[in-house]
Amino acid sequence: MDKKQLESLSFEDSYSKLDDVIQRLESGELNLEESVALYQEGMELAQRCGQHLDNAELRVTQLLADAADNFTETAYSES
Amino acid sequence: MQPITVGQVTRQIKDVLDETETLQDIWVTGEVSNFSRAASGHCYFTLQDSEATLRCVMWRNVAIRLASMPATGDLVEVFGYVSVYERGGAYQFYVNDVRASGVGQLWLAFLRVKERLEREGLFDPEHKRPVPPWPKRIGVVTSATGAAFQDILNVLSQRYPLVDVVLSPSLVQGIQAPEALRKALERLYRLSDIDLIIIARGGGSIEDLWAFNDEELARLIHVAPVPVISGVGHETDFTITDFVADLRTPTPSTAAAAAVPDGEALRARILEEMETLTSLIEGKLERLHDDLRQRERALERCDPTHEILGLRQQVDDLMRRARVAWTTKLRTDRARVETQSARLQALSPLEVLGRGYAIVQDRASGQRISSVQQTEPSQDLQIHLSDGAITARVTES
Repeated sequence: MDKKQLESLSFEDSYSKLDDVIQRLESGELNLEESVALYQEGMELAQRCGQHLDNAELRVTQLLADAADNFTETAYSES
Repeated sequence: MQPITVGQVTRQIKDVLDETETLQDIWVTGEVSNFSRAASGHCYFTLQDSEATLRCVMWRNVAIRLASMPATGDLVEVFGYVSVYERGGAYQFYVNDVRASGVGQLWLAFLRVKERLEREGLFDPEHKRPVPPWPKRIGVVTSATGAAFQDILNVLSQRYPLVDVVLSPSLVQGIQAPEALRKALERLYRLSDIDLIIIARGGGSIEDLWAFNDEELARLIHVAPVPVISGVGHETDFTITDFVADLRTPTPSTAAAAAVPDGEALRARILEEMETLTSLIEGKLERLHDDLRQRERALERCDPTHEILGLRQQVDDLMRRARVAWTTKLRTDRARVETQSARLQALSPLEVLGRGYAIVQDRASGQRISSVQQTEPSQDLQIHLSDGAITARVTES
């Protein structure tokens, strides 16, 4: 997996891929090269998960309805 | 018949009233009149309806606990018991709690709705859907201005800021609130990408929370396309919304917490998984190393220099044995030679000459003479004796 692919992964995708990587490593049927590659991938995925959590900011919108109950979604402001 | 005293009569009346269970721990409804509060803090008033009046007393310790003091003209419900004030010769109601009239009605209505929906199976556990583990977009039905929504946002950004939040604002109390709540909910139903819905309201009186006991609202929650988490009021408040929701939590904050994974726990797990990864790879390397060492040892055992050394040793051995054999042979040979030379010595012609024999040769030719026929007169002969030779001439043959 290259850097671009890694960065496009959502948190839960990174997280479940991380689980996969660990399971594959645990199965122990890999040669050294494959193991090291998987290890690197796993560490990158774990770091990616952490970045997701660190950098995320809650996105808040609200629904505004008119009299006919047609509504639009707009950014929420506290006021 | 002996007369009894006023005190005795009054005590008997008091006993009868005190032992009548239907007059103990009851709610009584009526209109307050003649309300007065003495300097001592005790309160006295009369409760009345169209048929009768009831003297009431409320001690100071009860009065100071009340959120609002009843006033003349209020319709109230009082909780307490009937007993006798002996000195005044009056029966009266001893008040332990006061609430606004109508709450009892609300409570009955609540029970009726709850019972009906329960019978219809709207609260059955098999209808409860699990909360999705990784929600992406959460719909929230609550007031846009209340503290409840801020609480929800705070909890979500603390725990799991990866989600999107869509507020579908609604009135949350008052006569129009039930319909507003239903409409707000339906708007969220029309969004296709919502993973779950939180319906919430901060704490308030039972009347404040009343909209959340609306039967139509309950039925709408029951058919929600995604799981609904409720967080209405405080810990102890239960509304119909709570019963019909897929997950009931006590407050808006707890509803938000239940809606998303715990970021801190996730962080901890990610760290754990990194450690797992490292120990897995280290274990792998360790095993490979062990394998390698084992092979090295196997290889060492097969090293041809070992064999060469072995052969060299064999050669050395053989040579040593050869040397020994050789020396032995030399010794025996020498011994044999000595024996032989002794025997040779014995056979030596000089030895024979010593014993008086002689060797005779023709002097001219050196030919050895061993027979008379080899001789003729006047032939010169050389005669070898043990200590030298002499020349002689044949005179007769």
